Amino acid sequence: MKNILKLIVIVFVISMIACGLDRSNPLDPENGNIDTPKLVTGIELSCSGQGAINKFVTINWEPLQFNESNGYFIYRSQSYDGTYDRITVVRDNQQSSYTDSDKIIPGAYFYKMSSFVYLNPANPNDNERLEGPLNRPGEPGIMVPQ
Amino acid sequence: MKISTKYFALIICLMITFLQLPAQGFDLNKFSNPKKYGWEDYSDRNEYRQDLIERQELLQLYEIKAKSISYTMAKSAIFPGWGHYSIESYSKGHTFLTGGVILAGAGLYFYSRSQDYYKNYKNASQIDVINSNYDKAEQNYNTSMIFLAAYAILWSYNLYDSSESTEKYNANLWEDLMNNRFDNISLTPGGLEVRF
Repeated sequence: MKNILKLIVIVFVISMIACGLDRSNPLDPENGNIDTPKLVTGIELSCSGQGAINKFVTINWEPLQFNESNGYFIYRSQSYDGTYDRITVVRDNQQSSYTDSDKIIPGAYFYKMSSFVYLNPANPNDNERLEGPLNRPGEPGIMVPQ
Repeated sequence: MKISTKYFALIICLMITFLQLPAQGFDLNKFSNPKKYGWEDYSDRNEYRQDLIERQELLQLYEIKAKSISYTMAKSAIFPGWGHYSIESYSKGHTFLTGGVILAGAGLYFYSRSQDYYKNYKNASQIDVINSNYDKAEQNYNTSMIFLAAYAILWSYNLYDSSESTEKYNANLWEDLMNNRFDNISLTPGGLEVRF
């Protein structure tokens, strides 16, 4: 009986050590195929003034190096903890601002940004790009006036 | 001619001697003496014969009621506790069956959750989503492995115990048959039962 129990415990320990989930996602930086994109910093928001007919919000940020990022994603929401929709993809990593004028009406707007890198930068494929951590502007959001 | 007569007489003597040996070895009185087996008289002998017949009948009953170890182990291998039910060890059967269902169910539940998270991980392209889903998948996978390993241990012990319990059951069955062979009247939940 003791021998059987010993055998069971050994099999259990070996199976626990041997088994595990593979990091099979090619975009997983743990695989060593790709580096994690850097956090976008220096994000600032500004908007059109009072009484402007074509209302807009401008986002500025500090551009990253080419080896740190191949572009940026910008997200927008009308509530701080709401759902953030991706409003654009900036494919130029040296670009440092974007003007959002799509369906802007008076009210509060909240933005997030992230950078991305291609799995194979020499042959960019939108289905094979890794998005980095999301970052918010220094201020929680911006109020677009009437 | 004298020599041949002597040899002839010797051969005849030897033949008579050797033919007498088996007759001396077989003692008819001793053979038919019932005291040799501890019987004082023929009624003892009849009692013994009756006892032998009863034992043979009990043996037939035993062979019908006794359970094969391989049969109960096969049942226990399919469903933990099933083998114990077949040898009327209901409390152990309940324990193994309930434990098996809980452990296997929990193991499969966590394994299914881990596969859902793992699928999300494989399809994710955002670093936080990748890490979050992988961590959850791994956590659920490890939990499922703990439950499934515990199930494997329970299953193995259930097999071992079904073998041991079947041996005990068969031993107790013979003792019960021997003890109850004269008990034609027994008290059952339905009342008195008289067997003829």
